[in-house]
This record gives sequence, C-alpha cells and structure tokens, in this order.
Amino acid sequence: MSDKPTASNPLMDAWLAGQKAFFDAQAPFWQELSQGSLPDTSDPNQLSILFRRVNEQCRSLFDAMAAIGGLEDEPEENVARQTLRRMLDPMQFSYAGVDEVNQVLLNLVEGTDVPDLMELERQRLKATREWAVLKREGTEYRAVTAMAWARVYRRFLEEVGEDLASGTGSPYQHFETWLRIANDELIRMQRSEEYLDAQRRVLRAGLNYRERERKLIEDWCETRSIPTRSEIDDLHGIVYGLRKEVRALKRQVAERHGTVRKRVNTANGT
Amino acid sequence: MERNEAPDLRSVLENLGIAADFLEGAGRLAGIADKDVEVATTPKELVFRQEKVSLYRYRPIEGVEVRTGPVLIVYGLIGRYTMIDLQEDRSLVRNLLLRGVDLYVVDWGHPTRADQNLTLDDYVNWYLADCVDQILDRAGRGEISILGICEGGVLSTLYAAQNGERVKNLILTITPIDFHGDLRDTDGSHGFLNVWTRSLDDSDIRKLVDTFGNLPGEITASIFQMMTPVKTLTKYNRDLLAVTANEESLLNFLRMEKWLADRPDHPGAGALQWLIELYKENRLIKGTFELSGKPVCLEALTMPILNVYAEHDHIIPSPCSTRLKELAGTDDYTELALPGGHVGVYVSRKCQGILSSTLFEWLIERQK
Repeated sequence: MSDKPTASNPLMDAWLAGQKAFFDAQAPFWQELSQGSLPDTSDPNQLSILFRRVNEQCRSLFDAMAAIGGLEDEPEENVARQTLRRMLDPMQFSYAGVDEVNQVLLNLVEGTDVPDLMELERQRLKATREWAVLKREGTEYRAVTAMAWARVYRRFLEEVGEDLASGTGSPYQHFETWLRIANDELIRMQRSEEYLDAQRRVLRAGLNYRERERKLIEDWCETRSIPTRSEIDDLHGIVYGLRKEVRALKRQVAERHGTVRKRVNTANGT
Repeated sequence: MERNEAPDLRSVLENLGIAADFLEGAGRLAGIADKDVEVATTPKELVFRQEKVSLYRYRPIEGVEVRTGPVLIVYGLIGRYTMIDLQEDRSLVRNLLLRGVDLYVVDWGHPTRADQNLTLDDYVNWYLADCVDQILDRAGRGEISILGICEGGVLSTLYAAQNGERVKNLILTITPIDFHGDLRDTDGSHGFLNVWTRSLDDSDIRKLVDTFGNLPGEITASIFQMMTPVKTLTKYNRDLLAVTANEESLLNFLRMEKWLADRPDHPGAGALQWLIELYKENRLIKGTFELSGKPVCLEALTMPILNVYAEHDHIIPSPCSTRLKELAGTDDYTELALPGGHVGVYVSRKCQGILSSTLFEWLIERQK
C-alpha cells in the first residue's frame, strides 16, 4: 500500500504539494498558537491582536486559492469569491451564529480606519468613556456566550466522553453530536434574559460610541466648512416633504384631467 | 496493522477525505465567475418607474394562454424579490407563467439614506397604490389580485384593507399578522426575531435607526443568521462541502448566497413602524395601527383570501400567520400549510409544486 493516497491522480498530487508548501510556510504561526504561547485572553487588546493575526493568515490562504482559481481578476462582490473567503474564515467558527449582531455592529460603528486624515480623531475616540463602555459590554456579552459554550463542552463530554476515550465512533458521528448539542444550548441561551440583556447593552454601547464618533466628526467638519451628516439628513427631510407635495399636486392635476383613476380611500392628500 | 488500531486508521482516512474534499471544493469555488451565478432570469419588461421603485411585467411564455387577470407580487423591504425566481427549475414566477398567470412584480430597489423618511404609509398608499393603478390602466380592469410575501404580505394586507374595491383576491405567503403569535408556538427554536425585538427598549430601536438613518441590511442579515446558530456555524464548511462535488448544486448554493448578500437597508421611518408598532406593540391585530392617519381594520378584508404559511417557519412562526382567519372579514378564506421552513416555501422543489398548483387553481376558481 502506498503512503500517498493520491498517487493515482497526478493533478491532485501536484495540488496537494502546492498546498503543503503553503502550509509549511504558515507553520511557525500555527505552531506558536498550538504550543500555548497564546496572549492573555482576558485582555481585549491582546485578543484583538491574536484575532487579527489569525485573520491575516487566512487571508493569505484565500489569496493563494483565489490566484490558483483565477478569482483574483473577478470583482470583489463575486459571490464565489465571497463564499470562498467565508469558507476559509476562522471567525465563522467563533461567531457561531450568536455573535453576529455584535460583530456586525462593531464593524458598523468602527468602520474602516481612515489613515492620516482622521487618525488623531480616532485616537481621541478610543480614549472616550463610550469606547471603554463598548469594550466592557462586549467582553461581558462574550462571557455570557462563553458560558453557553462551556455547557456545550460539558454535555458533549458527558454524552461521548467514553466513546472518545475508547476510539469508538467516527469523527463524523462525534461532529454531528457536537452540532446537535451546540444548537440546543445556543438556542436556549438566546432566549435567556441574561443573554438578551447583555446583547441589548452591547447594542446600546455600540450606538452611543457611534453617536460620539459622529459628534467628533461633525465638529471636525464644521471647523473646515464641510457639510455634516446632520445637515444632509435635514436636507433629506426637506426633499422628502417636497417629493410628497409634488406627487400630491401632480395627482390632483391628473385626476382633474381624468388621466388617472380617482382614489376613494387613499390618504397623502390625494 | 494491528486490529486495535483500526478506529484510528478509519479516523485518519475520514480526515484525509475531508481535507481532500475541502481542497477540491475550494478549488472548484475559486473557478466560478460571477456571470455563472445568475438569479431572476425570467424575462420581464419595465412598466413603470418612480424614483427607486420599479414595476415589471413578466413576459408570458410563448404558446401559453394567459388565463387569469393581473396578479401583482409584492415582496418586503427586507430582502429582494429575486427569491421568487432564484433558479429556472425552482421559480415560482416561471411555474405560474407556465400555467397562464398574468404576472407583475414590484421591485422596491435599494433605499439609501435619502429614503430614510419613507414610512410604511408611503410604500402602501404611494408606491404600491401607483403600481396598482398602472396595472389596472394597462389591463383595462377595475380589480387586481395581490400576492404578498413576508413583509410584502403585510404591505399587501394594509393596502387591501384600505383599498378593498381594487383588490379582487388577496394571497399572502409567510406573512405575519399577529406579531406576538410566537408565544403560541410550541417549538422553542422558532420566533427569535419576535423575542429579540421585544427585548429592546423603544429608545434602543430609535437610536439604532437614528444612528444609521435606515435599518442596515447587515443588521437584519445578522439577526437572521443568529436564528439558526449551528446552521451558521456549519454553512461554509460542512454544508458547502456537501454540495461542491456537484456543479449544479454548488451553483444553487451560490445563487442563494447571492440572494442573501443582496439585503437592502430598510428605510428608517418604516423600520420604526415595523419594529415598534408592529413587532413590539402588535397594533395590527388590535386595530390600532394607522396608515395615513386612519386605523387599519382587518375586518375590511372582505375579498377572497389564500393564506399560505410554512409549518416549520422559524422566522414567521405559523401562529403569527394563521391568526388572520379569526380577524379577516371575508367568508372566502383558505389556508395552505406547506412543509418546511420560511425560505423553503420558495426554494424547495416540493413546496414549489404544491404552491404554484394550489395558487393557480385557487385563482382560476375565483376568476369569474
């Protein structure tokens, strides 16, 4: 028996060789991770650095795969490209469906760092009370979800611990058991007052941070005579009112000339 | 190899198989261009456009006699109408055209911050009303059948309740009417959206909408993903690997991804009504929901109604939909329960067959 499971398929062989070279290049990072040189996970900054490094590694893998498949020339919104990115995204596991709003909200409130222009303002934002509260609420929220995951581990070990020790059952079976238990526990957690309260607080903190950011940016814009978001929203409100008025007037004229059906029951002044 | 090492060998082989599948799947994905993943391909023509809202008529299929009056499909502001025509072999649109239904669809477009002040009143008594008028003028008729989907079903219900003289038939699919109906659903995995919304203070919702102008599509998408936590966890690995070996299955997966990614922002003022007045306060069934200053009375729904719901709908639990039976004023009320979940109504081949044939027969019986 050959020790090369793909010996009969030279293309697959070449593919795997390429992948092996790639993974070898990444090995130091994963080795460091697996050997326990983890940062202090109670420190949000250290944790963020770790997450960023994991993401960077996976982005490299994505780039390599995309180059092989020719996806690099496709537009960013290509659905296969997006799907491949998610397939290779380790954060898909950490979100686990329950952290979605938290993550999305953080992305929305933090946005993309604008280099140079807003750097000073961003540094000031990170020093605000709102930022500290957001970080604290985020940590507390994660603690609630971590408790649910702990319950998943405990139940899983209770159910399949002996099988794992004796080597009974296949990885596939264990995986299915794991998913069933995780689904049960996460859905139960989502309906708990503790979880809903934690998520409400993180949402509120995120929005308060965003409000503070907006104030800071608007101050910056005003000193430079740049229109602010609030001013543009005011304009949207005025244009909306005008749109309604124009529509109502056009409709009145058309009804008078019999070119549209008269409405019996609609409002909007028609 | 020793006998007692067999389980390890099996595990190793399984793991190798998974790794090979993973690489093969990733390779196959990397070779798919955007033009390979098309949705909503059934031919249609633009009838009317007003700002971001477009009204289309689907082109009747050559050789198929049109056997019904005009039917307008109204999707919600959350998600896109392309769900009803996701792929050729699972297209409600195509199935209805093949039977001879005269089909229109309203596309709400992609609202921006400039549309943040649009209310549900505007969508019902402005855009939808104008679309209906356009169709009636074009068809030379006085009445139309409306097929509402999810939030679009609520918009259709609101329109029909205040413009009954123009609505010949009302067809609702996976539509919430009693927004607290989840409390009567015995399946604990259903109705998280209801629970989540009720857990928020009004001030939180107002601040959310005020902060972004609209209700961002990313937020609604993430809430939907939260509803099925493990499905989200396994989607891009186990589930994806299960379809990558078959190109057509992979393309179907990607079409669904394309639809999911196309989640517009919900106009802010309308989102406040949707979340606070409907989801939290449940005003529609209490008769206290107002549209353009007038309360909406469900008893005014005296036209024939076909109410389609999914038995295992985790987004709109079935009691939220079926409550309409008690509240509508019609004597001609029909319910159709479909197996499966919310989206399954439109993408499951089995549901597609049941839905399109039932809907067509129901319509034909009420053409006279």
